[in-house]
Amino acid sequence: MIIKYNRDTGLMYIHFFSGVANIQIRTSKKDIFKFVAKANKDQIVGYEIEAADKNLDFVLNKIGLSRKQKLAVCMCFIREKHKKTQKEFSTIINVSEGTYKSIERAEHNISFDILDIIYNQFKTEPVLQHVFG
Amino acid sequence: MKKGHYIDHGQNSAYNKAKLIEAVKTKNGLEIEIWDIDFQHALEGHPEVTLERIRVTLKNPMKVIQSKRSNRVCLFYKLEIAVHPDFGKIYFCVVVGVLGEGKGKLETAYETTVIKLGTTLYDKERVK
Repeated sequence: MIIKYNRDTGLMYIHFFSGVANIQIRTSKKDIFKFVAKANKDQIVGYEIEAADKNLDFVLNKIGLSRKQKLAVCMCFIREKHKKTQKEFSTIINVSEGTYKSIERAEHNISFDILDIIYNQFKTEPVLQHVFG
Repeated sequence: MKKGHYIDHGQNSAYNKAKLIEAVKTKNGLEIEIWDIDFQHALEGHPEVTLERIRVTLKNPMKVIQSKRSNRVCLFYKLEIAVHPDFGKIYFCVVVGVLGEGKGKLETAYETTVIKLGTTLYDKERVK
């Protein structure tokens, strides 16, 4: 999974696959657009979310993300909100930069110890309730 | 590729390793920087994206829209396919983050069926 978020533009991009030719179409929600595979309209390749801070609840609850994917979205969102780099966040939660990057790609099997650290470091962040709540 | 300062959130960021691929000047004088990390992201999500398509769309757009949701986002559109059997009209869209002082940077690019709502900054049809 690839996530990109820019706080100043409010745009968030979530891609579940790479290397799949896709095209953007509307969804029923006006700020959210989906990318579907060109070869198969039913295959959702990813999403573009405008005003991501206002639409994060929808993203975390309505597009069928796994808990690991929800954590990835939350970490990327929180990190960009604080204008920090992945390296800086890796230090905060005491993992290597590579491990942190894989958390934001929802590729890493996270130990309970790391989850504890994330929870304790960011417990004031309301979005994390979607993961830990 | 040139090395330089990657500007994120309107500030020099800590992406020290980012490299400037090129800066494209648009018709209305805006200079759009294309950085390798943004281009790489566009490519990962959208394999149909090429540097040439981005360049052509920025230099000769059909329409430029300032996003209704954020005045720091400009969308450059170029019509690619007028009638696709499955999708209808297909546009190539380059998403630009406006940095100020006549500068912007590529955020991403993709094919789309949607021209978003917002303020029309340029419309080729109206210029004719």
